[in-house]
Amino acid sequence: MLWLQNKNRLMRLYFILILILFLISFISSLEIGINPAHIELYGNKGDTICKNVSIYSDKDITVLFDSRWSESENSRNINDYKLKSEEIAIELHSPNRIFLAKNKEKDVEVCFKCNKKGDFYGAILFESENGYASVGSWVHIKINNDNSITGGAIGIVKDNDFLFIGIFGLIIELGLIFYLIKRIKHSKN
Amino acid sequence: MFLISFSILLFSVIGINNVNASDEMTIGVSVLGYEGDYIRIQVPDYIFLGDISKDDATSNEVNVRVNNTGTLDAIVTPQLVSGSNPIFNYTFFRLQKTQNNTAVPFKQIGNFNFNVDKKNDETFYISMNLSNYEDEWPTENLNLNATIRFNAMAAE
Repeated sequence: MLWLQNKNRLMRLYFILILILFLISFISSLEIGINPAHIELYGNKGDTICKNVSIYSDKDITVLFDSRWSESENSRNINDYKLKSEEIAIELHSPNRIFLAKNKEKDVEVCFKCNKKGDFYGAILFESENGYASVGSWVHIKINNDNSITGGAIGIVKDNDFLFIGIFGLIIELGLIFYLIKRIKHSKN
Repeated sequence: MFLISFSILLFSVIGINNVNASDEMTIGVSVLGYEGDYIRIQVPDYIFLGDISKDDATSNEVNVRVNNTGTLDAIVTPQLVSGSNPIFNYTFFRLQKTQNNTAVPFKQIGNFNFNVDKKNDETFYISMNLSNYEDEWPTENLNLNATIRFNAMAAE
């Protein structure tokens, strides 16, 4: 009987120890997140284009904003992204340090100003200030020289056939005006 | 009179359709598919690898779990935070100790990443091996800490 009581006590202690170890594994961890995971932007050279991202943490932390860029198209290995934004003529405008309240999503506006035409592949990163976790979004920016594409819009230039109809219409109008003037003069005479 | 009226009407109709060929019609389009999906991971904040010395240049091999609580598959990359003691460049990782009864080779930090499916977790092993460390050893019995940052991005 005593042995049984001791066994129950041991089982209880064992269970409590397991429970404590289980809880510790979650207490000593950090959860961090970002939305969206991909950013696609279109713009013209010299324009500032912006995107709102939402970041989250399960603890009160400060995150640091960073960006990296790559010459490799669409690589999904962050170690391939070694270039700084200034190396590829991209200016970034975003808060450098952002405080995240625990369990609350925070919206951050990230703006890019690209001073060269082309396709740019990068990653924006939000790194916990104590360093042990970071999340990021893949970024693709397409920059044009002209105004035919702005923001999410696609521009369509009208066909040259309409130019011909316009000129033809103008000729008919001028001809009619000339004829009317001649008729009026003839009537007066 | 009829001719004048007809001419004015014809003039007006042609005038309305007389467009400038450089006008542009702009339509807007939203790129769908990504909004609403998010990346979110849970990582441990401290990993202790035990003691290491010149005589025993390999540390304990510790199992670490990373949890993906997001809606997208993630690729996680451990990175050494800049400014860390260079000794920590000799940190190695592997997903399993053995596979098909063969020891799985280690990958050095900077060359290792792993995928974690959405709403799932993944474990890996981390250790230090200073066997090939050729620089000056730190002062003995010195507790060294380095920060390894786990970076999570969408896997696709």
